[in-house]
Amino acid sequence: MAKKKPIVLFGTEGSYPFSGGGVSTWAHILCSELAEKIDFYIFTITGNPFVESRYKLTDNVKRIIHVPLWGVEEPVEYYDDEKPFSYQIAKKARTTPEVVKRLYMPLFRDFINILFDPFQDPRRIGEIIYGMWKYFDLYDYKLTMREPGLWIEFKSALMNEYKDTDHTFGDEPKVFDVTFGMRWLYHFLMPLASPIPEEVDITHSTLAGFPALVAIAAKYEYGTPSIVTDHGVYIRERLINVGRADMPFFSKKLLVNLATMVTRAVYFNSDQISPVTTANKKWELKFEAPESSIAPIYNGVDTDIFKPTSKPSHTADKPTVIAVAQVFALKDIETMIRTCDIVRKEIPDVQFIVYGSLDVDPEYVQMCRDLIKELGVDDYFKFGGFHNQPSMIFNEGDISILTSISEGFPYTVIESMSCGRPVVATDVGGIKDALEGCGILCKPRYPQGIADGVIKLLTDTNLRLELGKKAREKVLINFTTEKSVDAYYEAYNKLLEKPKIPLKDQIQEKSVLALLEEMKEVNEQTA
Amino acid sequence: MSKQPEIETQNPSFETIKAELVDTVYKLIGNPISSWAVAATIESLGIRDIDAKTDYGYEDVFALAEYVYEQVILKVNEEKIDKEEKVKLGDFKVTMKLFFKHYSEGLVFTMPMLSQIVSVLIFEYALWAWLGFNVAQATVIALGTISAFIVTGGFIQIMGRFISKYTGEGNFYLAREAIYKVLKVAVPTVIAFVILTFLLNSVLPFYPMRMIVLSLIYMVLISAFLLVAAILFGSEQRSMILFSIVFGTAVVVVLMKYLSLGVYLSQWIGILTSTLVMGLYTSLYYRVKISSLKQELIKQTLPGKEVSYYNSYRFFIYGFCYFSFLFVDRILAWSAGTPPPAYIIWFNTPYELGMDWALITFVITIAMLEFSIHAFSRFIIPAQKKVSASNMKYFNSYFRKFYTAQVVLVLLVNVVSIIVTYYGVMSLQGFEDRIPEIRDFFENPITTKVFWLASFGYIFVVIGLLNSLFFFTLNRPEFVMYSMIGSLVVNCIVGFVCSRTFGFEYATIGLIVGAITFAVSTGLIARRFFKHLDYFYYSAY
Repeated sequence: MAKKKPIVLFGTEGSYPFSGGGVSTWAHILCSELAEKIDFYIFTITGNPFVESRYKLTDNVKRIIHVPLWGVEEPVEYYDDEKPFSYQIAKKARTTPEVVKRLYMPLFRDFINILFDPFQDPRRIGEIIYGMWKYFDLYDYKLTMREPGLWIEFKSALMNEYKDTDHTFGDEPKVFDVTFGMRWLYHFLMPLASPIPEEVDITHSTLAGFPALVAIAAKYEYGTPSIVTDHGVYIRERLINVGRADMPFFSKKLLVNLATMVTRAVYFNSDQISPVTTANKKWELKFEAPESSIAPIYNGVDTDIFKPTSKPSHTADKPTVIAVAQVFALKDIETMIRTCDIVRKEIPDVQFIVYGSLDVDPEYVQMCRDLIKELGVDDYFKFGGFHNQPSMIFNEGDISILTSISEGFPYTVIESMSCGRPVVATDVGGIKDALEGCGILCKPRYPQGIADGVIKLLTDTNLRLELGKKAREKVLINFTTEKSVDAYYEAYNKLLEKPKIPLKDQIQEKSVLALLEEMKEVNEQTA
Repeated sequence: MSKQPEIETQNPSFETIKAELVDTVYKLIGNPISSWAVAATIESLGIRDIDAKTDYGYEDVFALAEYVYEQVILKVNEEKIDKEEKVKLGDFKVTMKLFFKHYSEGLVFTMPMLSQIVSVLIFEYALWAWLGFNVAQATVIALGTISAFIVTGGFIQIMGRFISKYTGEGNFYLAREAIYKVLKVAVPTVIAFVILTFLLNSVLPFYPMRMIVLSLIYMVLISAFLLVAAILFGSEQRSMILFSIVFGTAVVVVLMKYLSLGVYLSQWIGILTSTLVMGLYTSLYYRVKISSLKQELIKQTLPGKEVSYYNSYRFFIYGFCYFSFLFVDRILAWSAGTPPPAYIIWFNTPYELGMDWALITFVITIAMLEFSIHAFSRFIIPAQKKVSASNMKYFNSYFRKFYTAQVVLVLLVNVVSIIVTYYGVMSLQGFEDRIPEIRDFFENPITTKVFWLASFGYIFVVIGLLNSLFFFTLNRPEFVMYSMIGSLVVNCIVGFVCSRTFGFEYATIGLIVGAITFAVSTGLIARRFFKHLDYFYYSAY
């Protein structure tokens, strides 16, 4: 009989297997490369319920637990699909106002207290999160969250928070902040209502956010060890996106506080935190990640597919600079266009080709087109759109370029390096980890500096070839798929060796202890 | 975070680019949530630790963020002083615009009915009406129509719910799937009703079998018509209903007048044509929508059977009870009175004419509800953004006043519609001498009596419906369901007693008391609903 493979509960949000993109590509590589060694249960959070897999899943993906946050009246049908709906009806019947008041209200009160002060002891946050999950194991999520008592509690807590704190700098909360704030709690905390299969050996979250809530619960309930991969830094991204969103001040604050408390609890409770680049570390440390738990694992590229070939005929005669990027503000294509304008003055037959979607931010695309026209670089700068053979893109050029103002550890850089095409890139995020010693790093938003790098590489053939060779070598040594996957496999094995000690026996929070005591009695009665 | 920059600098260029940065951050995020948010924003602008040091004179991005945060806060406070203004909710101009737009849209709903009245007046025929029907024939048609409304009522309501939910989300694929799913249960239910009625009448012959068969044929055809019309109604394609009815009626007229096919066959073909026109249009409409939005490319499924039933049973019960409520007085009236009717339920022309007359006032008033609910949906989010949470009572009381205004407006429109309809119909008396049908109409005082009683009852039905729409909008069908069940029971009991005690036409008293029950019970809930609107809005997910 074949040996039973370990099971990893693999948490994703808005990515694998229902959406494309860098994280999904990484996740698919990891799952499929470990087909013989690991079984995966994908725990995936999506915005809407109507999604389908973008990938051909390998046989070791045994189950998908889908939590759609919006768009369904009874989301339990998705994430608890192995039980008949009559089971859920029984749960609903158990969820009386009295039960909510006695068992859930104390937890909710503690939760709200942390929500308004998210920099509290992360142990406490973890315990409350576990308590809530434990409660929803027996009682209905939707009915509980609809209980008027919780609404009153939330409303008065929010107003007290406003009264008690120095709000010289903050706007006064609006009705919108309260109604939508509580709705967001209902939606975002939904993963806490999902059961966790007991047979899971490890939890692996692809971001330190909501999918990792179940990892915390599993750790308390079963002692399941956990690892989290930080592609970007979740809290940093939330700060950027929510900060720029068009919504009232208190709503922003609530969303950011929620993300802050979740991230801190996730980092605190994770056995291993693996950013894809050392650049993420400074944010992780500031949000409660123990330094000893941080162990970067770089993304990898398939060097048999991304390998150097000669340039195809349509670019053979021209010095060509390739970029692979979706066209939107963070990629700072504007700077790339200005760079092109400087370069063409030195190298008149140069061409820049940008491959990638033009649909993400049409307004920005138009702005770029206008700039191209304004600078008169129409003949030098082209949008190539979608390319049907990604592995050939970089071989079309002599060098690659990336002008992003914010990045994690972009695949495009290591893919180009793997093709022996040196990269001129802005020194943001983890690009330095990849490019140091085999490419040119520049200051972001500085066309002249970037153009100097491009001109240098295009005019100095020896240097270009030498850096290309070094880049390929660096990828072969550090950034192969095999190396990346092996590092995760090794991490899994290390975690498997750890004794599974449920943290529930060490709980200190009164509300959670009281709940567990009551639950024992209820479970005995139910049994 | 460290509060002070570690590298002090007097470099004036630092000050300039720092001021530029403060401006940029302020433009991007406005009032910043924290210095963490500022740090993340600064990084997203491509500013790194090294840039913070060399270009701005701070140790790192976090230290720079601390400075920028404080500067932006100063800016925010300056702006705040300039911006202080009094909160004003609602907008008279917008309200009037909404009123004319949605009330006129609502009136389109009355057109199919009016078209039938006009058709009867001009040609003597409509889709399932004919001035030449005798009482036995009228009984056949009435029973077919009423049973069609009651049997399909629950499905019509569910269909409306599903269609508006999915098309509201722009998901025409699932809306179509939901339509199929409802039809898959509705059609067998209609067939089952036909078989059971047939068998029942075979065992207990309430009516001659020919009457029952004719009635059931009408029932099946009208049911199909209602189900398809409900799809178009829910899909906001209401003018197509009018078109298909006019087209179907034209077919009836042609078949009767020129091909002499007889009234039954002509009307059956007419109803069927009308249904087919709507069906074809529906099918085409959804096909075009789905393919233009490429919605068939994504695998989407409706909730499972159990979940669907759980989510929709309240709507079904409400729909079933509502249509039963609207017709139960007829059943009670037609089964009472002296001398006893020929069969268990026997059509009474003056009573039906009085009810139809009153129905015009009802339909004209119902058009108002379109406006009320659109205005409510339109104002509720902007109001939440304007009113401070500490002033929640003001928010709730504003909408309580809004609700009261809607009730008053509905009453006003209702009274006007009753007066206009009454005098409008009464003015036809001038043609009494020339048109015998008009003379017949006014000959029996029961007609006018029933008109007044039923019109009075309908006032309360409309108020109940207004309340119900608010509950439906915020996803509380249970409030409506229980009220409707209670009101139906009251309607049945009071109508039964009155029709048997005072005279058959007093079945309308059942309608009145039932309607008052509906209006009052939903009204009491509405009071609580608007008092705690903030909660009900929150929990409408």
